[in-house]
Amino acid sequence: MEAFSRRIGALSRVFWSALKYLVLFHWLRELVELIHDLIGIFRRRKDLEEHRRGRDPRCLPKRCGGISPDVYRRADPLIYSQRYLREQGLAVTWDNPDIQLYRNGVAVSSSSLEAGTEYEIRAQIWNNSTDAPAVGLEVEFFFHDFGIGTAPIVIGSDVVTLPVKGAPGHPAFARSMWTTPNTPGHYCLKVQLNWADDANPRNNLGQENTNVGTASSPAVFRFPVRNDSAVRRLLRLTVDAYVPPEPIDCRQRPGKKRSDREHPELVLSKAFIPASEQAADWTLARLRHGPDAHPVPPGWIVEVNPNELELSAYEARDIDVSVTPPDGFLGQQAINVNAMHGTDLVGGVTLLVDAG
Amino acid sequence: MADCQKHYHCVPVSEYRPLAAATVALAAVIIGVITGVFSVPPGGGIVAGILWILAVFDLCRYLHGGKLICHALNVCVIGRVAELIPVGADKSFPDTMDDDFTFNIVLSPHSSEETLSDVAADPNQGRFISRQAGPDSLGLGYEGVSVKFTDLERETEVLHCEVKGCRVHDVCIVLKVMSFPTAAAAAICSIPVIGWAACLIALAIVAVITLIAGGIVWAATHNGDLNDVLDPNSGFPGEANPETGLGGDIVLVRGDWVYDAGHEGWNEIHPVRYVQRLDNVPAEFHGAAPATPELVERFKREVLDPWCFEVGRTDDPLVIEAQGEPENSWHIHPSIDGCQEPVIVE
Repeated sequence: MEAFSRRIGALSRVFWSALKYLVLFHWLRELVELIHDLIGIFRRRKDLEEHRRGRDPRCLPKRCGGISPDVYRRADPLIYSQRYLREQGLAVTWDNPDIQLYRNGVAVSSSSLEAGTEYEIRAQIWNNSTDAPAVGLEVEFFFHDFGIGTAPIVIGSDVVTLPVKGAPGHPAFARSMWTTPNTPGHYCLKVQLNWADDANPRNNLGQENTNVGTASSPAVFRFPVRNDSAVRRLLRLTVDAYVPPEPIDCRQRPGKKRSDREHPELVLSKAFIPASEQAADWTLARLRHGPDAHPVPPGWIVEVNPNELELSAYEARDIDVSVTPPDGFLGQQAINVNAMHGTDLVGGVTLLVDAG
Repeated sequence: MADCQKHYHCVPVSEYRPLAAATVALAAVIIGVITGVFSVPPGGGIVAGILWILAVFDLCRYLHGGKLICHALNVCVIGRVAELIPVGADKSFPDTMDDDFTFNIVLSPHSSEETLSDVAADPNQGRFISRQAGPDSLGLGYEGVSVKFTDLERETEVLHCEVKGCRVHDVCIVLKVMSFPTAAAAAICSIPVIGWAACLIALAIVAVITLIAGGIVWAATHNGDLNDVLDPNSGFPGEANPETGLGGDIVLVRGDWVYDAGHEGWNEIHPVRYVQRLDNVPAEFHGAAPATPELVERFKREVLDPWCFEVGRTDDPLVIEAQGEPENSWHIHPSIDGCQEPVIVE
């Protein structure tokens, strides 16, 4: 009897929920949501046609066992990564905002290092994911002789915990002690993040490669350019005066759609944008950070000699860059020299020219 | 993104009610037929219609989580993927209404050779595959889930994890909405002669609409579709060697830890809300050999606690609030698309 009355009680609760569903128009809301979801699925399928390239066509559901993205999460550890940003049509600086050297706790420029001296290298690591951390992220440090494409030498590595974006402890800092070689000279630093299941593995390598010269009409820099590939390559050297501009006022950000509408020439529809950065306003980024927006300032003369190099596999050759400031210039000007192989960025340096 | 898991919720043990839909639906059909044929009892069509609505709603209540008895919400588990069970594998109609993608994990750092009692003795994660008091108090049995690796003598005890598809939810919307016109049709049917003719027409219309709408929804929400698998954001964890039980990706799983009364009786993570592949877990925790208590303790200290702590922070309201702040609104790099609030000097 008790079980029967419990059943009746349970059914009466179901009855009331059905009545509420009908009277309060929950059915209408659910129908609208359902239609909205179905339209979303059909649209998504169309978009996914574009992503099929590069995927194993045999990857059928019964073989692969894919977990949909609303449940499957990937961390996206990143550092200011010149090669990746250039791929997306942005100018880059080799004075990396995420790599800083310290001597006895005091920040120093990587362009004025002393031989046989111990420095601390600190790398700032970001996570572009709001829901997937990276615990035990390995960060490797290397250095090269100053120049473009020179061979890396291991400094050391660090392991850090990278929380999600916005959590205390984000960004994380990786550190490594480095004693500079006994030979005086300039060195390029490289920081590599190693994370296997990465939402965007292309933004994991950052470089710091700067040199300071005084403009005594002109400032002259000589450094090697190396072809670090196993095939002969023709490298073209380009120059710009890009320095990351001040961040934009949050209230003046136009919004992705508006940027795309107002600057259709900057929408690179064929550029591969990882899903983790689909929401980014790349058009605004190209407008503010594109090479065309940062030419060598009027009055400055920059001569690169030679400005094209045909190098055999692993061959290195010196180039000369002379920078002449306009008369009366006081201060410091950054000049970026980038080595391009076709549209690929092979390497580069940022030359800081002091005048006055 | 459909985000199907949000539609499913487990119930506390005190609110668990077995499925009554089949009995109620049968009663609805019997009353409906008797009323239609013999015109007795008066108003029988209305009763049949109401019972039909109750049957549909009870079925949907059950499938939406009424069959899941909560042990704990949003738990964090780390294990090695023993077996992936693609959508619809080994199922035939009407069971294919369940379009969940499921997988089984061996709790880390345990090996595939360990017995249920070995793993259950793990003070950190053993409880996930152990019998719990709640379902026991209702007299529900517990059998557990196991996987058979061909080279091993015994079956390996695993924790079942279900990533929800949307089909049950979507088909239920169609069924619930259409249950009202069906009930109305049943009521009309109870009117002698005129009602019978009208009844046939009305029922035919309702049946056709239900079938068409249900069919569209059934097909459209099928999560095992090739396109879903090819989504570049999907995850592709690898399972253990089916012969030796060795290997398999280590994954962190978050979701509700429940007893699923819809099966023979076992605990599972249902719905799974979060899966992350942990590629940097040291090899000693990959279950190549039976885990010692020291290894279990070290796994907790070096892997389980740090990972579950960091993943758990994503639920912290302060973190969620901080993620909405302008300084975290960048998507490329703070130096590229970061923004700053203007400094206001008064």
